Amino acid sequence: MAERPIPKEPPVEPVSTRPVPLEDLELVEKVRMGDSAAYAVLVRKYQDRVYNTCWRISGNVEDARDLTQDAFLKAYERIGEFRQLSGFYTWVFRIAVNLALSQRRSVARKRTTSLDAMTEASGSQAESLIARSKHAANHADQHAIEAEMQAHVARALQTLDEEHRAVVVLRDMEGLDYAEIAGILDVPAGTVKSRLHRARMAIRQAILPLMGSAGPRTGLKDA
Amino acid sequence: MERERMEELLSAYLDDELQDTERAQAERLLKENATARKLLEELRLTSAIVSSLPRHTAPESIAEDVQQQIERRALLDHVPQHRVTHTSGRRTLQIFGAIAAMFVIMMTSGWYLVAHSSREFSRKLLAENQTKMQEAKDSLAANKPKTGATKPSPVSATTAKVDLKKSQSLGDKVATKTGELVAMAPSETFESKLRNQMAPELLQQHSYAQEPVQLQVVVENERQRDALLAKLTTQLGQQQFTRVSDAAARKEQSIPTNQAVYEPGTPGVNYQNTLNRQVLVRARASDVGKVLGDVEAAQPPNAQMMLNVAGNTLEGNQLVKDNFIALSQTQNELSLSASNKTPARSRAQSEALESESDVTLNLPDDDNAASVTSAFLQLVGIDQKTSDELGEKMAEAAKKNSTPTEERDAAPKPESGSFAESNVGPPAPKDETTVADADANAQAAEVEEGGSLVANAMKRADDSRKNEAKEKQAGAPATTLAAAPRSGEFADVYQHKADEFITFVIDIAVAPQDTARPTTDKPTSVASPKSAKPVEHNDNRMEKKQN
Repeated sequence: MAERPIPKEPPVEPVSTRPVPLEDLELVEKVRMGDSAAYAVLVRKYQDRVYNTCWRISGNVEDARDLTQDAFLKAYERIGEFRQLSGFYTWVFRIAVNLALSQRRSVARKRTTSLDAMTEASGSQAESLIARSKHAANHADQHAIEAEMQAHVARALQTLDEEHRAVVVLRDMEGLDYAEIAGILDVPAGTVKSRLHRARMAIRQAILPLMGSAGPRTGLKDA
Repeated sequence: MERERMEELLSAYLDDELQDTERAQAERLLKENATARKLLEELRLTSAIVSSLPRHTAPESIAEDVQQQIERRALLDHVPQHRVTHTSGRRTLQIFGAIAAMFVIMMTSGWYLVAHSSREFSRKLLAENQTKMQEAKDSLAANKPKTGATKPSPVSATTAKVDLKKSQSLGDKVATKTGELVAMAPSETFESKLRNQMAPELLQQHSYAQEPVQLQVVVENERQRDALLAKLTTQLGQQQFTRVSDAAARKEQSIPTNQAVYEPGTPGVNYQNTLNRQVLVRARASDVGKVLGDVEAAQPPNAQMMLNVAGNTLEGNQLVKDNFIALSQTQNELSLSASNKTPARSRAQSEALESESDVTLNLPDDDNAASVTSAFLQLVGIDQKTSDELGEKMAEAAKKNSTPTEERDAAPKPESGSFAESNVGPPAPKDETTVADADANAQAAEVEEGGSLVANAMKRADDSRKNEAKEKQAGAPATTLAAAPRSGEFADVYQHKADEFITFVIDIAVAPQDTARPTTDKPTSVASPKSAKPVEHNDNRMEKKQN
């Protein structure tokens, strides 16, 4: 996965393919005129989404809080550079994600499992899960299985490296399209596609036993 | 097709992110390959589970914190980056103009207090105290202790030989020593010296170096205060702030209503060379006159008493605090307090604001006035030379406006009334009356009315109560005690309402051998008028008065 490193500071504004909310543009204009109350409206509007994204990327709520606050502050400081090619939230997401990624790199890294190693190690994990899923199938309802799947997915998410985790979070949790994600992470759309596929496959591997499969899967055979 | 390429194709197909040709390719694969179809379903489920992961609500404080940070940064950095790029030059100028104006007000206000409060106040006090001590000496020499209420002594400013030149420089401590003035070691207190039977001589000594330096800073709101504090902290490096307002409020509240709490004299304040002890009293404005009389009656016969309404108490300085940040530095302590300038607010709001406004910055050593002042000057962007020039101008203006010494000396003195030498503290900033003026006015008012300040205060309190009762009957708001022209009395200066609590300080100087030494810690109740029992005194209460 030799990919371009993500710059610490976003040099350009991501281009959004979806319409930018007019209300946001008006608020941004007010902020530019010095109306800090207008900015408070924007913060309240998007703070939950930014916070959750930071939480999923950073892995803990304390960091998420600080990152969210920092992201909004940085966005305010740089709002003069916001050219409204994207929505305000995309702009803030770009800043927040980059802050979160920088923070993850700067702190003592948790031991992360490479995607390849994860695939190799998934056998024993899968066996354990098979036993548990059989037990679950006998005694728990579908809701419990889903909850367990969520727990596994959450854990699998945290085992991904930050670049892959960010892509999954932005796509599957925030619903951003590839172009937006590419703009936020400052990588080509092809890289987004590639990272997303690898990340999903890794997560799928973690929950595969709960899906009723007999064993670990590695995907399609070469055609 | 390569396996990974096909998986990527299906992942993108799931997201509807394929070009037409790729989509056709994916659909063909799905049609022909059951494993591909199963993988697509698994990816779909995986994506669905990820998207269903629980979400948290952001802490509510984030928006508030962001807002506060933005405003704080705006103040610290003067103008946010985006405003430079998106606002007109006129707006930028307005912003800078407003900040510059604020700083000029800060400096002039600061100088005003230093020049007027400390210099005039100290000069007057020194003169008065020297005279009083001479009287005490004479009295002791003649072995004839005074009895009854002490007559006030003529004030003679000419007896003070204090070099005040240095006090006119904002960067220096308030005053300097002369041949007559010998510095006390910080660890020594007037009380300890009295106990060592050194009082008569030591009463002549005075350490101006330990006087507080006060700079007053106009602020519009708490955010400005915070910004100033933040910047001052930055300037001063690693110093730590500790809030003291709560402690100050607790102390004030701990004084029983209408009772006197005795404290030893505080070293390093204006009264050092005369203080034997201080009495703290908290009373309703309408009761002050009576309480003063009771306190007076409880003192030894030769006590010299001075009323200091504008002492370092929260309520005594309310008017000042309503309008200024007061930055005062005493020994190794810097107190910075602020409050909202908004004139109309409830008492509760005021107190809430106070609790957020007072800050004490502890500094590492005693000799910090220069560094603090230097940091402050840096903070407001005014160099020492400008400060000195500003100070000289202010001093000249003050000189023109002040009452000539000869006039004050020539003012007739009342024949009775222990509180006739009442002093008010720093003059209210909105009018430019000096302490000397206030004192002269007070004396003139006394003569006019032919009674002591205590009597006058009681009379005013009675009048106030009557007026208040009348207004209540008429549905009108409670009147203030400040209806009369300013005469130097507490009510006139500080405009407390009749039912409002006032905390004030009475400074008492007593000749050493006649000093009554109370034995218990209990406050003396002055509720019973004309109590002749010895006052109670707490020797261990405080060596140094805290904020």
